[in-house]
Amino acid sequence: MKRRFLDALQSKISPQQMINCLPLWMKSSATQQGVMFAVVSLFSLVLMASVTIAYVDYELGKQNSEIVKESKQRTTGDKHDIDDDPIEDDDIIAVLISGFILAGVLVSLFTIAIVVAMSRLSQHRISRIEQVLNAAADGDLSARTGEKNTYNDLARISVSVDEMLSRLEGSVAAMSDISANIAHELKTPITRLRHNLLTLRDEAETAPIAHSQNFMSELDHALSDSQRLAAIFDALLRITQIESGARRSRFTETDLTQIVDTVAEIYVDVAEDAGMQLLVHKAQSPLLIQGDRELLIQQAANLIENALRYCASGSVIRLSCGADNNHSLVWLKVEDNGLGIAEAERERVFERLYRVDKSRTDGGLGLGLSLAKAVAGLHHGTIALHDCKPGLGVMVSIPRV
Amino acid sequence: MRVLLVEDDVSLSSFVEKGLREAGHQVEVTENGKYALTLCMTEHFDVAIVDRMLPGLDGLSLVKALRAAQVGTPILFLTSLGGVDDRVQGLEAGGDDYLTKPFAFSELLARVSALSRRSSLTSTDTKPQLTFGDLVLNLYEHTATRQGKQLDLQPKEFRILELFLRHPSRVITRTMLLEHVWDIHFDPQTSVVETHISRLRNKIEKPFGDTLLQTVRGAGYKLEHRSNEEAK
Repeated sequence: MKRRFLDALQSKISPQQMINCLPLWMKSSATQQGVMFAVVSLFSLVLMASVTIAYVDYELGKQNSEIVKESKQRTTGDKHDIDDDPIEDDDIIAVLISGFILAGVLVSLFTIAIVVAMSRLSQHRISRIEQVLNAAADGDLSARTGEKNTYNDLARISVSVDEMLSRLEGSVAAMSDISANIAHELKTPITRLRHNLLTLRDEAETAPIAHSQNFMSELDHALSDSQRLAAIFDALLRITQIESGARRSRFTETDLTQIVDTVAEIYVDVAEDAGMQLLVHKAQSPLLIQGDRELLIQQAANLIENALRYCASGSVIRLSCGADNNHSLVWLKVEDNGLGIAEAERERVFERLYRVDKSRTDGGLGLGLSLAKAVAGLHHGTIALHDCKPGLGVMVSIPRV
Repeated sequence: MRVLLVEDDVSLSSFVEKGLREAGHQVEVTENGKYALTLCMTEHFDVAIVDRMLPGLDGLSLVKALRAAQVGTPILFLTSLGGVDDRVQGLEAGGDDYLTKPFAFSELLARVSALSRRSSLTSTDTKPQLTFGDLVLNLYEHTATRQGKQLDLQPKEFRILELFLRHPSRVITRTMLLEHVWDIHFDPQTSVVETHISRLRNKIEKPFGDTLLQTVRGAGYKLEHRSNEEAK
């Protein structure tokens, strides 16, 4: 290590690189603080000693001249007022004390200045690292501390954080490239498949020989399966994209009551046609959060579609939103009076492609609740199921930042 | 109509080309983004269909370059990237519409027609009312009348009707309705569109004993007047 340092010295590289070549123990903050403490102590000692010596020297000089003056008066025969005790103990002690106090004040000021400067520097670095890590947690992987040199522990951590983020950003980009490529490679053939099936169906319909009912229904099955394949694929990609958190950069001020209005407008008639009732209760005042309007609408729509799909005709679905007492949290609830979900399965339904009733082919993808959960997570919120006795309630809570 | 198709998957582009030709359009096909850029700068196209992932120059950069060069050709993005971000990026880059794979050909055709119409009709867009036969929509007062009788329409029903009247005799697909009327960019698993269309039909067709909104199987709906006998 020493050699590396010496080599660095000889090869005349920039001081920054030289700092980076320092052996590890010299970069440790504990060592640096120890060294700094020793230097400060030594400096304080020297400062204190020299100030005291100088001050005492000056005061003693004054006393000295007093004595000399008196001695001269004595030799000239001026005999009045002879001081028997020219050097007073109290004087000396007072001189020493004021000397020490003066030196002490100076040393304290000096130490305070150094401590403040150093802790400020560290604090600044720590808060910079904190900012960068928070930004990364919110999905902004391009944030960097901007530290170049590794001359102490905090700087080393900063540099490591930057390196880690660069790698993470790279692999996330590579991952989304891969999923984009998979999407491209798989969806193009699905498009062709659908087109071929549609062409086949058209030809079969207009063919001179009538095809059996079975043939046509097989074709229709193939068509609807290809559509389902594409829909599952889309939903999975979408959830992955939402979970990456990248959409947070597009958050805008969004009113939850407006979301409820929009969704209600879409589904009130749909529910009525299915023989159900959609009731809406919303807060009077706007419920503003930072969010993604499109995804929040899709989330509410998914929850209502779930209720529409799994409840019997005649059920009542309630859609409501509001804020908690101290307005730090807003919530959106969808409740029905259908069959509900058994307690044991309430956590599992958020898993991708999980179905409560595996034998049922109800047209659902098994992804609606996973997407709702991903959207809640994107907004730093939570989603939970509760029993409405009877029926299922889903509540999404989103904190107001 | 002259259509430029920029797509690198040969078999996909061949069926799109075939379909567009059958619908009576002239089609120019290229699989290279850079070549497409040169083509667009030198020749006139009514609509360009551009895949997002292309060799040479990707679709997004191609469109950005075209818009920077003041080329106003309406552009329809064709893509496997169905995420919302991708769509927003596409529209921000200067695309006019966005269609994700897998798509039905009828959907593509409907969108291409709508795009070309949009670009040629921009000057007359300020008309205060739209008419189709005896159906009149007043866009200022938001009122609709048929045979002089006032129709009681919900705001969304008015929007649906307005979309059809702006593109008479053209197929409007389910997804186009979802996007333009409700601003929904995902596929609802329930019959949202069907419900609203059937309610609209009850108001504008039932009292008059004929049909206006025709179902086009596997594609969507179109505005076309038929008496009940014809419909049967």
